[in-house]
Amino acid sequence: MVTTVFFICAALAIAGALGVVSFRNPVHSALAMLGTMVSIAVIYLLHNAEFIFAIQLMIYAGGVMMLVIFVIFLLDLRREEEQRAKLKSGKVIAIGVGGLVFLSLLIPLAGSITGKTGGMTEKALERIGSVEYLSNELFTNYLLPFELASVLLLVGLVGAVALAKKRL
Amino acid sequence: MIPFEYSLLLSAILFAIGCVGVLVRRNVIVLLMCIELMLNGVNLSFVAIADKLDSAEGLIYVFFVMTVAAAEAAVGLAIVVNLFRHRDSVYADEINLLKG
Repeated sequence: MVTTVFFICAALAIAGALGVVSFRNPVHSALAMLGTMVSIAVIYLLHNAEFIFAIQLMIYAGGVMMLVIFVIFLLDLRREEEQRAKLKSGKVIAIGVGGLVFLSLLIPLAGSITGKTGGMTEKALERIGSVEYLSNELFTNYLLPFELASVLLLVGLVGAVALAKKRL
Repeated sequence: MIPFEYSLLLSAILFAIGCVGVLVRRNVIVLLMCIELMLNGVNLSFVAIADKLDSAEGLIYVFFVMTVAAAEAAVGLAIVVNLFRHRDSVYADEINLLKG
């Protein structure tokens, strides 16, 4: 059952990813991307990452993609015209590079993953739950990175406003 | 419970598709989306291995990757809007102001 859900979501994610790359109209690309993000969110849920599932939907699907779609609407883009013939060889090279990247990413699958196992075992999750466990880690061991992330978001916010405004 | 190999395979596929997209497409907004696609692939492998190792660290890294991705998207789109205002184009091969 779980495996079936995984395969359906994986197929949707790959189809959406191919759509992002191949659709001529950027709005269609953005909607395909939205589908990919939602299917990946379901896969996060299957991997017992409830918090990541929620923020994937809220930040990526709800925030980032809406921003992208708003910018596409704002800019009133013309359709991307057909690529000229001289780009054909470039396309072949790009697909070759993509294949090489894919093959190199398969290397870790040949060996087994080793590493320190953490304390987020099923027993601990039953006692306090995954979100609570994560927040415990985040607000104790990772407090400084967390605060730095908030500073980064502030800088991003100010930078985006400063860049997009016509005149300060 | 999903075998983590499946998720790693899916994340490799997503990363490769995003990589091809960055090389093939010319629209800067689509390029940004392809970068988000690659970040999503990386996040998926973080989550899969965190599930395999019972570790919270992978999930925390995903949290930070998402923070950086959100900031990157906001600043990148602001640059695109500014670019469109000045050059009336969002195609990567027409933006060659810094070319010598």
